[in-house]
Amino acid sequence: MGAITTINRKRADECLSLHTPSPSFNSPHYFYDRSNQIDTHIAKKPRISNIQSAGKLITSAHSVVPRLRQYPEPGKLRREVHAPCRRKGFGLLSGGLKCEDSGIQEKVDMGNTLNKILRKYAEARDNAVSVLRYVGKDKEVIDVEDEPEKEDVISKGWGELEIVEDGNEIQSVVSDGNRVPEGVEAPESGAIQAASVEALDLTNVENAAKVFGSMSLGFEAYKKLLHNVDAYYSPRLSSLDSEIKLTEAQLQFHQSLKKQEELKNPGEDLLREPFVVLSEEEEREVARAFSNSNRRKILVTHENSNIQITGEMLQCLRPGAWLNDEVINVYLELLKERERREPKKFLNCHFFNTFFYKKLIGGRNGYDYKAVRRWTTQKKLGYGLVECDKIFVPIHKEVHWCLAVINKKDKSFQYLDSLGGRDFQVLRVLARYFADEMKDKSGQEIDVGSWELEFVEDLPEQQNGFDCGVFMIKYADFYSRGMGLHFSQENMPYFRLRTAKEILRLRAD
Amino acid sequence: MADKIVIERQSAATAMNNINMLEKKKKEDHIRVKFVNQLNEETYFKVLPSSNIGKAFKAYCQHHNLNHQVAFTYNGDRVNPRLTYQDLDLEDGAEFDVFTHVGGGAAA
Repeated sequence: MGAITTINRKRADECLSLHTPSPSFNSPHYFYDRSNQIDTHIAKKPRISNIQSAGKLITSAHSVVPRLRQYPEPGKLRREVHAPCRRKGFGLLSGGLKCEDSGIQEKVDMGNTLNKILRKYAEARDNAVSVLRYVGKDKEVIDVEDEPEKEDVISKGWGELEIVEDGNEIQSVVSDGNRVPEGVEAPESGAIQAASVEALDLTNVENAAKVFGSMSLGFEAYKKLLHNVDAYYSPRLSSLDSEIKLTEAQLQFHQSLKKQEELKNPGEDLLREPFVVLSEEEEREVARAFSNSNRRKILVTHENSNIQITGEMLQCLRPGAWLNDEVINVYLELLKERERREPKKFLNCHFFNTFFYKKLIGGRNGYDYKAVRRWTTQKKLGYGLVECDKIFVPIHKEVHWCLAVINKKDKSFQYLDSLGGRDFQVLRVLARYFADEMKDKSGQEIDVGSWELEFVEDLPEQQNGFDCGVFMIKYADFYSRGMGLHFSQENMPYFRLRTAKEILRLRAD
Repeated sequence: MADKIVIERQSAATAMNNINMLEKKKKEDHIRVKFVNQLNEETYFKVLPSSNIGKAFKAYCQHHNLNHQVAFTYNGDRVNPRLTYQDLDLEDGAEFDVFTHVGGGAAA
């Protein structure tokens, strides 16, 4: 019995060590190294416990190794014959050691739990012994396999047995305790391990039974068992490894995807363009134009649209001011010119001026297509609205600017309000206008009823009471680039300066 | 000018007739242009095709006592006041839209 118990304890040790995770757990060689350690360490353990005195051993955990050298090689110990059983001790040790850091405390706890477990042990020992001795009896074996909990009890019993029978044994367990908790409590001991432990217990019982049946020499059997364990674990480990790698790769992929999305799909270069920092010279120019001495002066005249911008008008681009329609109209003209300059880079768009919508709904009976019928002739524009991907319609509401878009590309009517407002009327009017326009200009009948009326929701919104005009022209700017609306309130001061610069130079970039 | 030269060359007898015709023609030359403001109020002006459009704009502002700036558009485009009606091929009954300037910032 003594032999069995010590063996059991060693088994437990080994199991414990096997299941003890360490930071290098992921490395494929981990198990190999680990099992080597276990090999020598466990084999020597019983000797220590027999020879060392209790008082010394508590503190001697670290000095064990040199002393161990005196002892014979593990292979020569016959006791190892029963090595496989130790595995069962794992439940005890892992359970008992979790909460203990010092050997002394463990000892005390062991003593406390001893009484409680003693009864269980008596039963368990009977069971265990019968299992071990009568492996041939299917009944017994099946019992063990079917009831892993019972098995735990058994192993606990064995663990305790050592302690009871031999005071020295306690010491050895204690010295184990000193060493083991680091591993047991290591952060990496996760759910996976716990799960695998359970599974392993079952298979180990099988293994143990087999080994007991056919075993002749302990070391050989032990090796075999180790091999079994390795065989059981290494594929699992490697699969876990690859799983971890896969997950990491996925994580990286998602992160990069997120970054890309933030930086806009077409790439960084395109996103940089709308945010080019103004040079000092340009800033000075803008500051000069904003000065009050230029209020009455006509700063620029846009020839094609015959719009004259005076200093007073441009001052609406100073921070905190409301945008007036002249500035917006000029800017939209510049956007159109930009698109004509580089048709490949920008979507084919038409920008109505701020008067259009007013005129369209300003008839005596409200909607009046005839009033604007001649606004969009082929002769006048040089192109037809039919060809355009997007048609931008600035909407002025009392003191607020918003933007409506006839999105021919996606067959939808969009409404963008930097304050998050919604106006079905605008979209209905535009739908009706577009149908009339298509019918009038190209004879096409378009079923606008099937087009989507969309209130764009994930758009940058203004956080104050004066920036809506800037938001509106920037919605148009970014949309005509074919980009998402990648800006926010923070960019507004910059956009104001930039717009002023672009108007002064009569060139939008 | 060309008309006058032609007249001199012609006989005295037909001269009177031609002058009458010319006067009639001159009257016809006047075209009527319409200004429509945002309240759909219409104002008509009789103008000469060769005159600057800006003249009518000024007259409109005086007539309506507008001392603030307004935008005159024709078919949606701002009109250069220095041009004449002939330059723009404007015919009788041309309609100008008058818009008062607006601003917006979405104050509560």
